[in-house]
Amino acid sequence: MNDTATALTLQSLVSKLSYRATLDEADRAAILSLPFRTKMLERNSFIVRERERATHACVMLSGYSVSTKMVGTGNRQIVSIHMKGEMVDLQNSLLEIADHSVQMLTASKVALIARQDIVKLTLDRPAVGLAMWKETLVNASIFREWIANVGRRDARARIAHLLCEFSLRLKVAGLGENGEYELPMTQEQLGDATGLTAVHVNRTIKGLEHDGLINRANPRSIQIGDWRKLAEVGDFDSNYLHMAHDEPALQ
Amino acid sequence: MPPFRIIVINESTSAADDHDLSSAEQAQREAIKSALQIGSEEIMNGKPFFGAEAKVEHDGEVLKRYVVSIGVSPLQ
Repeated sequence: MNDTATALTLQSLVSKLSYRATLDEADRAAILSLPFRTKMLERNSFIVRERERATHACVMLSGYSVSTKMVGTGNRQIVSIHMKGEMVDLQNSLLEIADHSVQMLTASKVALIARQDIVKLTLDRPAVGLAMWKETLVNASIFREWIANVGRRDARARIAHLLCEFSLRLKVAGLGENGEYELPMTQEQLGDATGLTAVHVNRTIKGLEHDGLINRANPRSIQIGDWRKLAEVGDFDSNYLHMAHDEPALQ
Repeated sequence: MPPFRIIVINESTSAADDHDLSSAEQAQREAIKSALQIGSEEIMNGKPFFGAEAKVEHDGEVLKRYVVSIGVSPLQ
């Protein structure tokens, strides 16, 4: 249930959707008045598991989560990462039966919104519906890029590409500036996202650091030392993110 | 259970990571896979031969060591 203290909890969702379509005051007010409940989730806990009935979508208020698929051998593929302000699991909630799992990478706070309330909002406020539609299309664009990354780039390019993507998305989420950020994934999780073993990820990151493309004060902190070179190595073109913001200005 | 530490090392490569895996056998497979992945990339990048030690440690103790090698040579 909403309360006064949390009346602006969904402001990050308003900001995110405003990227995708022009929203008027009534649209913004309608999003902010969506019924929701907040929940703290532990690291590794699931919002929804594959094949479960998904009754809610959620907005990430803090922390990180990932969408994952398990294959028959028990190996996990991370197919996308979600960060603050992003609406997670819109697809699962609208399609009812989850075709992938959503798991917390870190302890996170989320706002859970019931499926029927999202459907009602999109029918009542077409501009919001358009923004959500575009958001799912952008998610699909990111999925396509990740498929190309895992399927056709070598290890160095895969990691460089992911580091460039994190840099831009974390900047939009207000979690990184000037190419400096805390890596939201462990090496093992980076491996699950890029189809590499964690040890190979370790070696690849060390190689990028050795070549001056990135700097690391500690294993989880990233400072992009040479954006253009890293983007070139990673075959990175931000077009697929469909962001209004441009690439960060770096030295 | 403390994580398994997997290390791949040779004269030019040293890479390691800690894994929460359910068994030593899984860790050993992961170690070999890591070395093969790194080695095949080296070969694809033009090196004729790759050899490295793949090691699994648990609780500070070496559980298993392997030599992993990959090479390519033209047939005469």
